[in-house]
Amino acid sequence: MPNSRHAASRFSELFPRLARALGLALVGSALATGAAGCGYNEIIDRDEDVKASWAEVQNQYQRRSDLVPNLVKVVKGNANFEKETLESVVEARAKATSVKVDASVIDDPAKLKQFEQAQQGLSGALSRLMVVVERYPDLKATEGFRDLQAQLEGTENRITVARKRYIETIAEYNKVVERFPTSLGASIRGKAVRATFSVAPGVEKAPDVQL
Amino acid sequence: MNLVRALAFGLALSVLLAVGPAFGLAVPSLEARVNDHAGLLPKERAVVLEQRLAEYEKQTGHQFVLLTLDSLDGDSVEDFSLRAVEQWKLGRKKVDDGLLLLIVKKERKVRIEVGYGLEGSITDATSSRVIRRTLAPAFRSNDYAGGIEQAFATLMKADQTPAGERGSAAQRGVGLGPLPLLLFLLVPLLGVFWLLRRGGGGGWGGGGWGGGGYYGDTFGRGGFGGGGGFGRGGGFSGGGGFSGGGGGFGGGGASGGW
Repeated sequence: MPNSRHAASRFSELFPRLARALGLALVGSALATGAAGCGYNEIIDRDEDVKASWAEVQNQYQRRSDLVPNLVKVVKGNANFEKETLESVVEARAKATSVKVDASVIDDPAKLKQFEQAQQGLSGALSRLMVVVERYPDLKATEGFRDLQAQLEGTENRITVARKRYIETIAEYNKVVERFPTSLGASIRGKAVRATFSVAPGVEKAPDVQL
Repeated sequence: MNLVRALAFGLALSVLLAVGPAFGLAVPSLEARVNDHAGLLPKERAVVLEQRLAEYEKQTGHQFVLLTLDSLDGDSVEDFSLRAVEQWKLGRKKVDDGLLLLIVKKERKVRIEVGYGLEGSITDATSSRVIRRTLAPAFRSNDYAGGIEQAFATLMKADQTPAGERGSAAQRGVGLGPLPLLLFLLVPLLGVFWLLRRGGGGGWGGGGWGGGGYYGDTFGRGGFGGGGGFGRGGGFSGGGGFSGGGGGFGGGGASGGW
């Protein structure tokens, strides 16, 4: 008898604790799963993906920009090369680098468009240069030029890849922002739909400088 | 053996035809380091090349793979090549040290696709030179095997030359992954345990938290079935032993033709 009374009192002593503990656990995991389900954390992952893939886009455009002075130097070495074509490349590069890019470009469609247009200007100027080079077989045959051409082609291809991946990560991100219930978490975090690159025909392809 | 191969090829072809139109040419499954779907290499030399690439990977960890195709069916060589490496994930995860040499017979196109981690040692110019100076001349005189062997030798040599800069892999951040969520879930639970412990004698014997089930990146390393033992045609009997290791590619390399 004393034994069972002891057990009962122990249980009643333990029970509120257990109840409280279980309650806490329930609330905690409900909060956690609720937050997970409504995209509160997912939006952070997608946001990081967007930032990383944007950094890659920027890197690759920067890489191309860095190649231009060498390219111009090598082409200039050919005394009678068309001045206009070269100048337009130099100009387009200056324009492209004058567009200030920081992380805010991701959230500013107007800035993104400006950035893209400036880079497309350089793409155009470079592909015109490559077409003109066709008329200078001596220049075309030099190792210096061929190496630079390979680097340029490689960089254009990296740009294509980086842009493609950026478009994909933005699509994933926007899905989380727009779709219920993940849209709840996204709006709590203050994340809105983002603009992406325009997939204009002919622009996505690297300029065909294959000889 | 040949029948098996023919059947496998037929199967692959029908899959290609079924999936093809929607996504461009489908990427064949990765069977070995030498995937000679266009039949450019004599059997013995394919076996030797397979062993050589396996040996190279054993020594350096760098995963070099050959894929030859009859035709791209209108696909661009860059698009196809990227899809292939994205699917195969050649090279080790985070090290990104994979390389694909892709040769398309009908269109006479070549592409060398270089993983992020190798971009420093195998530059676009290096790849382009290998195509221009080694592959193109050899292929023009129909010496496919010689060209391919020489190309891999040159690429390996360049790869072993002390690299200057690394690829952009180093700059890419390593995310926390699901860690924050786990913590979010764990903290209340730990709180419960703590409360219970204080309650004393509750009989909740210390159930240890099992060591994290984290698999390292190691599976891509030596995970290849029996050291170069892939006879062509018998390759898929080996229990699917060959796979990429999770390496990433960013479009580096070069394209060309002959």
